[in-house]
Amino acid sequence: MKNINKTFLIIAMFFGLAILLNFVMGGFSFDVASLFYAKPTRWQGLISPYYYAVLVILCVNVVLSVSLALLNGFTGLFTMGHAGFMAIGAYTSASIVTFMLPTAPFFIQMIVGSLCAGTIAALIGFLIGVSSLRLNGDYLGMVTLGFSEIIRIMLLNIDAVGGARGMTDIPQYSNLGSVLLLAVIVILVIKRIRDGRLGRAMLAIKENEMAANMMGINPLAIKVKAFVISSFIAGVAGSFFAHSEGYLSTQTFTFVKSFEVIAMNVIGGLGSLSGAILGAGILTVLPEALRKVQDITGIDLRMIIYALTMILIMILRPQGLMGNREWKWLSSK
Amino acid sequence: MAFLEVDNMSLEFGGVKACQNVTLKLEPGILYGLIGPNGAGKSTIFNVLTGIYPPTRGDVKLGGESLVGKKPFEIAQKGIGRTFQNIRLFKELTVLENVMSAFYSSSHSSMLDMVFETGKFHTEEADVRAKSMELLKVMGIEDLAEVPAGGLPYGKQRKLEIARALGLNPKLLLLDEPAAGLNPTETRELTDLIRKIQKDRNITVLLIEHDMGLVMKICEKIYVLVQGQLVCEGTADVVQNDKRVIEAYLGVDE
Ligand SMILES: Nc1ncnc2c1ncn2[C@@H]1O[C@H](COP(=O)(O)OP(=O)(O)O)[C@@H](O)[C@H]1O
Ligand SMILES: [Mg+2]
Repeated sequence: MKNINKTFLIIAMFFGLAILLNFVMGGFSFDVASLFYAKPTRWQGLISPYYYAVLVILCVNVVLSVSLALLNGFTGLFTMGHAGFMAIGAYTSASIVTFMLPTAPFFIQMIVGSLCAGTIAALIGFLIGVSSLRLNGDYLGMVTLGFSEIIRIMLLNIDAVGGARGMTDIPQYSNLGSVLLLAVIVILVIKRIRDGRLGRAMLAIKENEMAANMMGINPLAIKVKAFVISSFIAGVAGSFFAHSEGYLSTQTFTFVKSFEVIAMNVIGGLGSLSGAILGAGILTVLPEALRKVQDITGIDLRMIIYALTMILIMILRPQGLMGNREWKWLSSK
Repeated sequence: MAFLEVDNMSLEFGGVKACQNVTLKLEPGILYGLIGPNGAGKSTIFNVLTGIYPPTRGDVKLGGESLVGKKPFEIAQKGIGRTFQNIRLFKELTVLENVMSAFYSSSHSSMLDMVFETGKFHTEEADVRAKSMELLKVMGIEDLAEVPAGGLPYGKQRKLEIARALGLNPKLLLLDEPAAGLNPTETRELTDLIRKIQKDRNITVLLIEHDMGLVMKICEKIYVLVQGQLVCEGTADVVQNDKRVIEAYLGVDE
């Protein structure tokens, strides 16, 4: 019972903060919900559009990174197609909301859009999982990479979702408030899965599959579960991304995006939830921060510094910044 | 009918005849020994019993039901627990979590229970934790509960493997050279412990051991395997005085 209260406490705290923020941003009003939906006008009173955009991407990246951590960090499955699941979610949600629910109230759009996005991504994750999880590690990476590119090229050739021009005029009901809330919820969900019997089984499989078998754990079933949960979340992340940006292009979902999410995990520390968050933070903020450096120096050193930083981290801390440690609030105790 | 029957089981790896027509009949509640020189096929018998390798010929039955073709995790769920000759712990998990992982198939919290940390989740988690602690106490390593398993000294890792196998609540426990690499004091201590666990829980134990003294001291019945074939079975006295055993095993090995 004590811990159910904790769940509520966290959510209550979040809304408490929202009310406070609501006050800061526009005087007192009961329209707190508008912090979580629709155009960012209210937010723009507080932060510049540039920082706003960076923060939205940061939250989306945290969700992606944390959901991938469940796969490669906890279960030991190396996949390279996370962007594919995000794309499925983004386009599913954008299409359903744009074509079927253009005038529905925002919360209906949000719930239906993100649930459909997650479900379709999970379903495809399930099919890919069942058919490819028997393969050993390296092949799984290839299959997921190939799959993700196939999805992208298919989307590129569907005219109804804009094809190469990209999909425009997607209802923009989501905003910084909702992606932030999503990130908090996803972090809590993944932490709790990790700390329960399912998470222990995942870690056991990663550590020693043979021994896990001998403990009565069905590795294939657990791996498929991890795959489904992770693709569901990536799909939902895609949905919120689509409705925050209002615009989708298949260029966002190339294998470069998948590798970026893997890099977030690796730099933060494979197997560490805190690391996945930290990695997302660094890989989102660093390139942006380097823009400022460019303003000063006048030459574009961004990619060089960025690459050097990556290399330095890998040389000095090959286990990632967090190793397998966790911040206190995310540790299993 | 015996509780565990291995019936004329043979296993070949390509041309290597690892086991030839092995027949074992284990009765409930008895501590059996399985000895033989290196490479005799002892560990291979364990791998067949636990479903890692399907036998080339013959059958394995637990309580009358054939285990051939069953998946390793299904066999484990039916109550066969084991340890490994080359220790296979979940190194990055804590000692306690290692044991708790063995309760996976006997617990039922769903994903929603975990995500919302429901009452059911907490009751079950506390229960599994308490039972696992109990097993660590039995093995005398409860003070190391929160240490990563990979950091334990060798002897304690062996004990942890036994504790983890007991977490399955097995009817049959297979121990593959649990005293390998231990000093004489540790070996004696572990021997007494194995005997005590077997009696207290009234389970069947099949113990592979290199240390003849250990096996002779605690096992009620001993099987001797040489080059994949059983050459002798019986009490310590019978085995010790068997000519084939002295020739094939003691003669070669010592
Ligand atoms: N997976 C395998 N592939 C091929 N040969 C194997 C395999 N496992 C065991 N063997 C062979 O089977 C024989 C018995 O090995 P093992 O059961 O480990 O012996 P023991 O445990 O009695 O020392 C050895 O000759 C070994 O090389
Ligand atoms: Mg062996």
